[in-house]
Amino acid sequence: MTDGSSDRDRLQAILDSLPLFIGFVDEDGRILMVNRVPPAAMGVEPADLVGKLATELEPWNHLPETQEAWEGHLKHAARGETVRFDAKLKLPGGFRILDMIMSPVPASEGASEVVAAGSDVTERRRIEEDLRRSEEGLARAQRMARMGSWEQELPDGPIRRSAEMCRLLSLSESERSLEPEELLERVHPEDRDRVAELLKSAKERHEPYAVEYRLGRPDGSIRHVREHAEVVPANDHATESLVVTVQDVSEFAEAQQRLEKSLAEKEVLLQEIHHRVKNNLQVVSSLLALQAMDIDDATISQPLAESQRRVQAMAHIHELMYQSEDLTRIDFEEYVHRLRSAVHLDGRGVVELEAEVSTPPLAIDVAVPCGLIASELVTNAYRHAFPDGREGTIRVELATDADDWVLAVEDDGVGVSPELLDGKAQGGLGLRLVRALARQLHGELRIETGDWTTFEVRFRPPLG
Amino acid sequence: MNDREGDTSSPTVLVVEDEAVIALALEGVLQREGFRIVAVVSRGETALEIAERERPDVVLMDIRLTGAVDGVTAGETIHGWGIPVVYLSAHSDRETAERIERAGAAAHLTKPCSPLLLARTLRSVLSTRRAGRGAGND
Repeated sequence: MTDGSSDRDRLQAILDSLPLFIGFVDEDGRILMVNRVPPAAMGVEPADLVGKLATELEPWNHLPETQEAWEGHLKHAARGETVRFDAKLKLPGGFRILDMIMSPVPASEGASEVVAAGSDVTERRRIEEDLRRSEEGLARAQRMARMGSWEQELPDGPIRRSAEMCRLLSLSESERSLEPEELLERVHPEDRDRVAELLKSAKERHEPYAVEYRLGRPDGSIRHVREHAEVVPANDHATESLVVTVQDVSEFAEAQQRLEKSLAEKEVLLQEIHHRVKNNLQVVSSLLALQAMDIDDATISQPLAESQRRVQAMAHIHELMYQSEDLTRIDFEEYVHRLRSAVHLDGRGVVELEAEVSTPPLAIDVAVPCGLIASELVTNAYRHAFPDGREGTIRVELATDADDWVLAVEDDGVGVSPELLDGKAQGGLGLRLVRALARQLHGELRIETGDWTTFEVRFRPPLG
Repeated sequence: MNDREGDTSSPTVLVVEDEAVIALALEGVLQREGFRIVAVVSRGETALEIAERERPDVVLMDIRLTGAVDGVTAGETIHGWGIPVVYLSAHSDRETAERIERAGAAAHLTKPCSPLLLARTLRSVLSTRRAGRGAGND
């Protein structure tokens, strides 16, 4: 340090080398000295600025709030304080935001000088603003979706919970960064072990999980939540973070429960209806039986007994309906087995009844005609194919053949008359019923005889 | 009960069935087959009361009844008094079938049941019981 002039040159060189807006002003704000940044930004020479009040220049007087900020902070700095503020300056290239620091500088003869240094933080402030908005948006989205989140850098970084997460758990400010293990007692006792186990395996083995459980809140209410956890690379990619979202799905869970309850009620109702229909049909059957009891004339009592059997055949369908899994379809094989007790064969030779069903369970619109057809044909075979104690087999088959279903009743009894085969004879009421029911199924009855006599109805099952 | 048919040597049956028409048909069949009906009741509670008082030779029991006591519950108690119980029900689910078995059913018939099978089953239950008693007396 030799003389003042040289010091000043050195100072100027130092200041010019800094990427900051730097100026010395007196206590009124008159510019004593600037580095190269302000005049360069304004497109003027340093000499154009020296001697002027800052507030005479457009950057500082274009916006009233900028001018006020300058004047206000300058007073404090001139009194000996260091102040810091953001100032929005109008420059030829557009507005720039400076992070300003003003500090008092000891000057000769008791006069105050102030050094003002500003760093251009326009980009940073924009990024900060974007970030703030993004965080605000995320918080809003979490609030709207009732979804909280938290994360932790593994293995034991601090817990960071979103505002919604704290709200969901009713966490106070002091509880905000409690370890998740410390909050397990808020999980419903029946769910606690499961959640604890998943949390442990996520932390120790970095395994993701999804779980639904119940949360008890301090007010005694219960919330159903759905939790997802993933382990993702942390910011530096050297470590990993556990990221967990927790969504309040109580409303869905409650709606689901209402739906299930309503479905269960409907099932009970449906079951009750099938049960009542079955009972009523059995009552009708009993009425016919009562009527037949007083009649000695077989030409009258026999048709009554037949009617009774047909009513029973329908009762069986409804019985199987209310005993079936979904209350809408019956297992036809089971139906055929039950036919055995429905067709009364006391005192006859041994006739086996076999069933082979390869179709899916039958809906009621197919089950009733198929059931009645099988009942008629099996009864018919029992009655006519095995006279004089002849023994044999009756086989009921329901099978698919391409898009068709084929219902066949076969017996190895005595065979049928040629008139029945070539259609010259109509057969009794039983066969007339079978033909009518076959038409109801949009099918047709075919009769064949050989070693076995086959009655076959081929039809297209309704869709669904 | 005096208005009912059958002489005093006929085996006696208590019919428990809540569907009146079905009960009537059962009554008709059993009378024709030579049984004496001590009563036809539709409630489990009444069945217990009458079985205790009348001591029928056998009880024909439905499962679903009017009132709080169902057929199996009533039947179990009646079985405990040494009166055989024959169940006559719709095809039962497994749980009910197991309950019936545990309740000491003498037989379990499925509705609809032919008059012949019904009569044959009741007679066979009664003869087994007589044989059992005879053996017990020796």
